[in-house]
Amino acid sequence: MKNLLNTLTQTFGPSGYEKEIRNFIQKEIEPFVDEIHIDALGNLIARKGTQKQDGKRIMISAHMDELGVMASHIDKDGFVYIAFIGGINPLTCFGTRVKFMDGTEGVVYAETKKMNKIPDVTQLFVDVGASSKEDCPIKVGDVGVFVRPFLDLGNRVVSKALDDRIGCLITIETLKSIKDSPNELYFVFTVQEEVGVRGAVTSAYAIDPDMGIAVDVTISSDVPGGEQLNPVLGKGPCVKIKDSMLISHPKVIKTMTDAAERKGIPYQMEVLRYAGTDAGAIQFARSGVPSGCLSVACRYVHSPSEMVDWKDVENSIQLLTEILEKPVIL
Amino acid sequence: MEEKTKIKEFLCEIISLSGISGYETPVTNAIATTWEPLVDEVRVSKIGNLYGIKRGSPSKDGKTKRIMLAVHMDGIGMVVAKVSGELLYFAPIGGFDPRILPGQCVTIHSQKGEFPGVIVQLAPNLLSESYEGKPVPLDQLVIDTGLDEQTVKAIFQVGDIVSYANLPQELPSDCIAGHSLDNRASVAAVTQCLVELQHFHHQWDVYAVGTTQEETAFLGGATSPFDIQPDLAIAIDVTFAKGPGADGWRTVALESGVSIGYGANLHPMLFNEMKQLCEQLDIPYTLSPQPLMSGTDADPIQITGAGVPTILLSIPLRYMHTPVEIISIKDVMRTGHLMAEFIARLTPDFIEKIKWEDEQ
Amino acid sequence: MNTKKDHLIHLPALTDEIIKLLENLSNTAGVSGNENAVRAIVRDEIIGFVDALHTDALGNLIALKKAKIENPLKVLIAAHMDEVGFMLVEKESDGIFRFKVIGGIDERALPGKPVQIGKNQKPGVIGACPVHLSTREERERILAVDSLRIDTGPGTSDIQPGEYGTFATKFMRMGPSICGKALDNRIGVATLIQLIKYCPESIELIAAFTVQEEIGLRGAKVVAFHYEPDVAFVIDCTPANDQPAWDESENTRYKTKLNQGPAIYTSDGRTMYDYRLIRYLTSICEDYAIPYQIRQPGPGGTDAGAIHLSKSGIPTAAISVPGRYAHTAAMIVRIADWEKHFQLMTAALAHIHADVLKADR
Repeated sequence: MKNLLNTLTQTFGPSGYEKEIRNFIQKEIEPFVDEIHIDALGNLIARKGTQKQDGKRIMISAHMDELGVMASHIDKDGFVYIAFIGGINPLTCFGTRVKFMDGTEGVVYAETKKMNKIPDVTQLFVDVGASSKEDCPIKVGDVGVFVRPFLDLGNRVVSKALDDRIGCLITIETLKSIKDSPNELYFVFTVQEEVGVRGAVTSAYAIDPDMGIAVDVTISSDVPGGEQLNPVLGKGPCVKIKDSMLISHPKVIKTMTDAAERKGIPYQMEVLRYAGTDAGAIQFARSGVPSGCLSVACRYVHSPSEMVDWKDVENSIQLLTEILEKPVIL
Repeated sequence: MEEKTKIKEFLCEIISLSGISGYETPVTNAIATTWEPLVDEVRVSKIGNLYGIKRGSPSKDGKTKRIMLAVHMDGIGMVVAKVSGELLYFAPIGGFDPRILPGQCVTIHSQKGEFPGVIVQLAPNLLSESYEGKPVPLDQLVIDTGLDEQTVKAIFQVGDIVSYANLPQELPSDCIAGHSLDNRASVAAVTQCLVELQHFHHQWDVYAVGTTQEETAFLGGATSPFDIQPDLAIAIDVTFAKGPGADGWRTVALESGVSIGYGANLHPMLFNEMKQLCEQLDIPYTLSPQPLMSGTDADPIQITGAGVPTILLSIPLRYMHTPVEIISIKDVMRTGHLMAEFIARLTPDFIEKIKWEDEQ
Repeated sequence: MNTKKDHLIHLPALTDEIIKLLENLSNTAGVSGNENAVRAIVRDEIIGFVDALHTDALGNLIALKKAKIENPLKVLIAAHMDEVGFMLVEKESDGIFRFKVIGGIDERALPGKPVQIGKNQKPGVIGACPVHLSTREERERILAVDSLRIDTGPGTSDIQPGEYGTFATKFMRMGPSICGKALDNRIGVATLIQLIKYCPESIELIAAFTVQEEIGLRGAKVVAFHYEPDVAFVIDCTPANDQPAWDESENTRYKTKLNQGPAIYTSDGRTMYDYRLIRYLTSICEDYAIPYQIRQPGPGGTDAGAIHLSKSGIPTAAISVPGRYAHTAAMIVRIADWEKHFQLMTAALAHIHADVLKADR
């Protein structure tokens, strides 16, 4: 399973350019689902089972896209100025490396003389080893992702793009493990979450589910000088109560906590003061969808080295499987 | 055509012409053309002052007194200071609030002809600092002509004069909005005075004087009385009308009639004469205190030669030194009418009869 | 794609007649929420060229042109009609009104400008304190909109709070450029009027002249929902901040540049554009030797932000005419950029085919 996560995290897929990661996930899940299709924005939508008595239509969403950069200007000396794809702290960029879609790699740095304490994204550039505009292989509009290998620390794993390839892993493993369910399950690997939960908007409209659950990461507070929040690594999957886009539906929260209690799976409650997930978009589909989110506590979110606890991941798969295999009362 | 309509059309004509301080010729020519049939002689002085001379009927001793009506013709404007790429940086001629400039349509007077342009503020990243939430200073505003770099380099050079290009707008109640109403509105008032004088018998010679460079140096106001050696002078200018952004003792209401100045710069007895004449003729007027200098041509005129008894008449104007100044034609007509009536009453011994308060 | 050299169509030129149409559109007032006068011009221009014409609940004007083939591709082209402006909100005294800004106008662009108010475009001005009466400190602060008034002159009797206003700038030619208010997006409107006339018979065209773009892409949202196109193109204007910097250092943030042709979007604040369509458009440009540029990724948005998220998603592209000083009294655009934009859109419509969307997104 860690091998699968390794591949998931290292496969290219910034927001809007998810083709590679989608192709990989599609191959991985095709044998386990009944129907699969790709919508106009590139969401991968897989159906498993049909709705039986006591069953509901449930949408489970994990976003495939990752943070990235887009070339905005090539200067006369061949330096590539960039725009961010998604919410990135420029402080995490110094000396980090990026890889463009054509394979070109380069180093990120900033106009240090011009910047204030925190550089503005417009002061960042990528050095791809070119010496002039003419010999630079990158054009304005080309996209890239951060380069950081997968690191297995035993109980903990570290990589770029664990947000939200860890959600993809949990969703993939869940759909593989589900044997029988009264529910019609739509597993959606969404696009463009990092630029404004856009893939979830269109996929939720198409599916028109009775309930929506996003699987994503949340901020873990157990680091020196970190956020004052509830979730920590290793204490189980998090049941989201709210973030800035969503107040989870009480019945969805109860569905999740009931399942955890039934199975004796540890869980934590999550109240996030900011940010949002696909669930924030799903709840708005058509006449509204009761929605919630299963989060995995994660350190250093939106940096090139995100960290999660492996036990939390295993528990999340167990919990999600239990939720989806049983009738849901809304 | 009604006189008011004629004056309105004349005013709209002269505010559509460029007449930046030091570069008054286009507007001087238009005024001269209008004055020519109204006066006996039209002359232009060495530094560009326009003299329209209407002779009075000669007195018994053959000597004639002279009254000078001084009205500055020049307006504020800009001059190209640097050409950078296809952009023109500029410097002000006259007093400006740079906050009104971004988005103004202008005309650039190049040696290759007149070209339109727009004053604009560049994107924050192109300025010396971002100036977010602050006005962009005048020295970083630029003019874009829509022409490409090569053409710009071929046509424009540092020193080209820039004037506002927005056209006059007629508002209800005979009000006009536009640029350079300071001081073309007063030019119109003097013109109206000359029109009315066609029907009046007057004994004094009338020197209608369009002065130059009032906005920058009072050049015309200082030199023309030296030429003319008047016995009496009236400076005609605009004053602050109450309105958004302007309140307090220095302001009067728009449409409130002629504003008569008083203070050290103006002759107190002549001020009284003017005020009484307004009362007598039922012409609406206000008083405008000038505790120090009036900031008009009256300042230099008063101290020319052996000194000139000087009066200041002002026309209320909103939004002074912006391209959307507003005046009321009614106030223009009243000012012209008051001056004509005043001139018609001037006797050869008028000056001798004026006594200071302590002489009476 | 059917753009082999021998299938190239003849590209139309941007005639004086079209520029005249833009002049009329630019001088007409159509602030977001009150697009009536613009809509009337558009309706008159296109009524003889379309199969159906409809004004919807928000005021969007939608023209349909049927295809001559079975199961044609449904193509939406959207151009917003509205412009930024003002609304009078309170009469303070005789001819003096408080006003609010509608759409994104930099407050610093307001003082000292002639404006026009209401249906009959009555003149007025936004005045400013005389420079003689303000202190240096005051002049270092912005003249905030709450401190400004629109002055329509004493004796004003027929102007009431609730009426809309715009800058009073008149359209003009400046050598290779045009200058006027509301070129964002009357250029798009003028272009779309032409595209209707050049529409090929192989597609079903939904030409949408949208409202309320400047206040949140509101018109486009309902059009996309109702008409469910297979693919959408948004035509608009985009900033060109390509002037030299104050210190003449290399300008790395210009968004677009003048004279480089139409600007194709890849990413903005509201949309990651469909790169199958981006590739399609760039290949059309290459086949026809039309210059083009990629708009620098960054903030901002077009009607695409609403359209591409409609229902289960709509592949959407946006192509803008680069221009300077949008949302001020006077915007400047190069005629050549507009002509290339018009030609790109004409060719893109002529060759668009469902196969373009068969590739993986």
